[in-house]
Amino acid sequence: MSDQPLKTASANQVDTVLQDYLDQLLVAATAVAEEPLTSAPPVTEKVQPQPAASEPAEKTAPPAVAVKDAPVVTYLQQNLHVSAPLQETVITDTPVAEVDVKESSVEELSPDIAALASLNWRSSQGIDCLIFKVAGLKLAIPLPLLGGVHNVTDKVTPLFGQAVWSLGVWQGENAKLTIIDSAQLIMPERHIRLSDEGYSFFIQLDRSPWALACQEICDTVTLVHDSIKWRGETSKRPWLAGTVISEMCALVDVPGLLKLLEENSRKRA
Amino acid sequence: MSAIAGNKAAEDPVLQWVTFRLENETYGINVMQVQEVLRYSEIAPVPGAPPYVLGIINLRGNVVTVIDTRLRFGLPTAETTDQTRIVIIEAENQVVGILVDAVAEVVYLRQSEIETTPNVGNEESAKFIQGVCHKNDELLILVDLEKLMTDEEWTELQGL
Repeated sequence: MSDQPLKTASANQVDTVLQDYLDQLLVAATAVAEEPLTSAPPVTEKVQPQPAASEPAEKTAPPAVAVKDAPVVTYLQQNLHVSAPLQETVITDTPVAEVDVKESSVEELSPDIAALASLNWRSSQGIDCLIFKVAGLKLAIPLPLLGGVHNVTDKVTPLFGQAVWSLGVWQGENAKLTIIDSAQLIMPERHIRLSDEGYSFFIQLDRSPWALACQEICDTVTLVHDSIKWRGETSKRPWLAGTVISEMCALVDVPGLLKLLEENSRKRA
Repeated sequence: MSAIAGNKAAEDPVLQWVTFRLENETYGINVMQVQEVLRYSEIAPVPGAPPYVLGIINLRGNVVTVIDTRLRFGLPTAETTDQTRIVIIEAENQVVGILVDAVAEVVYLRQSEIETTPNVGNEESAKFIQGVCHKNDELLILVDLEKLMTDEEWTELQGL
């Protein structure tokens, strides 16, 4: 007797749960983003069709992608042990010339989104983002707002009395970082604890003392404004800037996340 | 030269901390507040005492209340071992004992070496943490003993 079918069933269940979760994110982001972004050209919908919920994430890649080496990829490859070769993916199926740049659509976004928008998402080059995985969920962080990727070497020191999403303090070579259990912070309803599941990397948010624990570094992609379904102002997830359907990942709103963390931290007397 | 060095020392004093272990982490308390360190001895429970009080011990004729440090810090309970110690401290003009897994050493830290960390605690115990310091390849959590108890609790202890 083999337990292979059981394992497969379990893996399928996890896939389904994750797929559902990402779908919820996509639906939420799409639903609230529709109104403020009415001035945006509808080209995104045509070029980046939303995949069916039952389809695995891996099958939802855009039809035409060009892969090339990038300095940041080389750097990450040299400095980190990663589970898969890093590649920079440039979404080329949206002709830049067709994107109608309208400043008003950016102004309608929340201040956090506006801060992200100040990265000039509408530039023809787009913004390089690092994709990493937390409990199966793919997250993207813009490289200009990436403080660093740290390989977990020393243990994280837990501090008593802290919120469940705080793993503790970690002493890096140059900085002391407060490590966030990304799964607990981003999807508490899943009751996944990275302290149990394990983690391999810390994603430092900008130059802040905060870092997200993650399990896998996937690759880097270049995202342009219209490849992202921006979340609306009324979103209940301040950490979410939007979703990238082509990559089936959530784009992290770094300023929004930092604000959320700062709001939840109290000054010590 | 010596005057400059004196000014520097005044600006950045060296403090001594007694370190102890609890649940595989190292904590530090100001040496000035530590009176002595005792081997574990029988702790007599006090009926009606608050849960954070383990009981009392007889210290050369004086009754000293022993606090359950693990419970106070929100850590799971553990069996006593040969390394278990009762650290007699003075805080808020009271002498109390705190039960710890082991006492490690006395370390010297410059004030400037002590760093604060973001406090994301919902629990009351989060405020006990005075700061952290990287020493001997590990992170030392410095505890503010004055905040170990609220004013009401210190008063309650006095009345035991």
